[in-house]
Amino acid sequence: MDYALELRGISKSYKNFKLDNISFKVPKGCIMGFVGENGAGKTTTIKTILNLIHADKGNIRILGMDYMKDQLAIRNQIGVVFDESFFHENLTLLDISKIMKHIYSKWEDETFFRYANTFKLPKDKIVKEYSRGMKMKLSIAVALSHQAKLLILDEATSGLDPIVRDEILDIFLEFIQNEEHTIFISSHITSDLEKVADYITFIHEGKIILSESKDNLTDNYGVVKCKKEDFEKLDRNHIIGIRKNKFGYEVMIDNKREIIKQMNQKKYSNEFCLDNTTIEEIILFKVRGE
Amino acid sequence: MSGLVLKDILNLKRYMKQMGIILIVYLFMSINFKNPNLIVFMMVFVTTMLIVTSMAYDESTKWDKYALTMPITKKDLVKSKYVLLILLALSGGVISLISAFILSRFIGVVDYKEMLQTGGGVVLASLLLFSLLLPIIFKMGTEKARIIMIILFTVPTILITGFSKIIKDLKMPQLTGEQIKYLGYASPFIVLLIVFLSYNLSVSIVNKKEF
Repeated sequence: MDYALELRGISKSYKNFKLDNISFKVPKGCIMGFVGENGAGKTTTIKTILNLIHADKGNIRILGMDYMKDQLAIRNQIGVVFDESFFHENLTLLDISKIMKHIYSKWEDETFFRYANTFKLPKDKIVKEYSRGMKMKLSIAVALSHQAKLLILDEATSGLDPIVRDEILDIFLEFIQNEEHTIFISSHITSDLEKVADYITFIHEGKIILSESKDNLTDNYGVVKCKKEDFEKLDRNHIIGIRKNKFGYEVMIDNKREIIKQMNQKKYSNEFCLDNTTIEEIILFKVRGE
Repeated sequence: MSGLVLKDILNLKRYMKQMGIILIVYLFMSINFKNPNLIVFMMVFVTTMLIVTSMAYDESTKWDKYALTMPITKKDLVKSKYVLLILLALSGGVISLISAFILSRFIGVVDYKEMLQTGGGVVLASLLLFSLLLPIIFKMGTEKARIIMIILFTVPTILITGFSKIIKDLKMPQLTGEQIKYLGYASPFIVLLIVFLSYNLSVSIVNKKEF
């Protein structure tokens, strides 16, 4: 399989925080959602990928190129959107397109203004007068207008209202129609990722807890609700997290099919039940469960 | 790199309109004092000062972090500021000389040689001062660099006036007219050398920076 982004053993230490041996791969043509709570290391990881901060250890390949050696070639082929806009307040759309034409080798005015049109960005206003949503859309339009093959988005949709978010997610889905295109998107709004992502990578306290295809997650993970007797019959190796309450146990497991088989074999009591789960729930169990 | 300079020019465009107003104020002052050199002196400094404004804008929008996701190197970021600095100083020099020239025809004070010398001298002096300042801004940001800028602008003035007094008092040998002339010829090269050294220092500062 071809990978658009590969991290191998990336580590970076700070006084109170460290990225610990981060490794994962994003296959070409996919959307990978990068999830984790605030402060888990999402932005630090993304900054390392972009070489904005220097990793202590490890190696990164982007679109098959070395992230240190082929920096310029890589940067010409990626589009990056952060959670804020970085454009100077006195600039207009026309100014920005003039500037970008001098920066990106494959800048496309036409594409840029088409997106600006779709996003209803005003041509005559300066960036200062833009709303937050408009500024984000502007950054996204720039990211999409220079034939980027990989989009790297850091909480790019987080500050936006649900309608705008939905609009933007649709644009991402359209972008990914081209098999050469890949998106790596971090967000703490897991429902957005659930909607568009093919793969989910979950980071917690600077470590990668899981990196799997979304189908795998929804197929294999589930929540068991049961009493203590049944709980003790569960295979410990497949327990991801446990929540206790006065009615009994809620257990996140990653062997749903096996459990279904066991249920059919009447291994558990009648009160034992198995529910489907969401990515958000998996994360909550991992982070907050015992 | 040209995109970065273009970005600053387009962004400062609005600012430049305000500069027009300042120009008019100095124009009246020059007429009042019957001294066209005054406008040359002030205009060049005010124009070159825009380099600090451009960097303050970059800081407030965190532009550098964003720019480094584009096909732009850290060296480009630094280079664009030095190119802009030189452009600003030169255009400040040209604009102010033109206005001083027109002005001098009106007020009847015409010493073109002195005007050109003032113009050239002020351009070089502002290049020198801002070359000293830029590495400090790259290291500490415009906010903290502001204080240092004030020191940088006042201390030399005090020192020079102080020294010239001491030299006079002690009856030390003064520079002859001839020597001053040679110093004048050498000064562009000295300033260019300092600009070059300052640029290299800034590059190494920015290379170590994380964004």
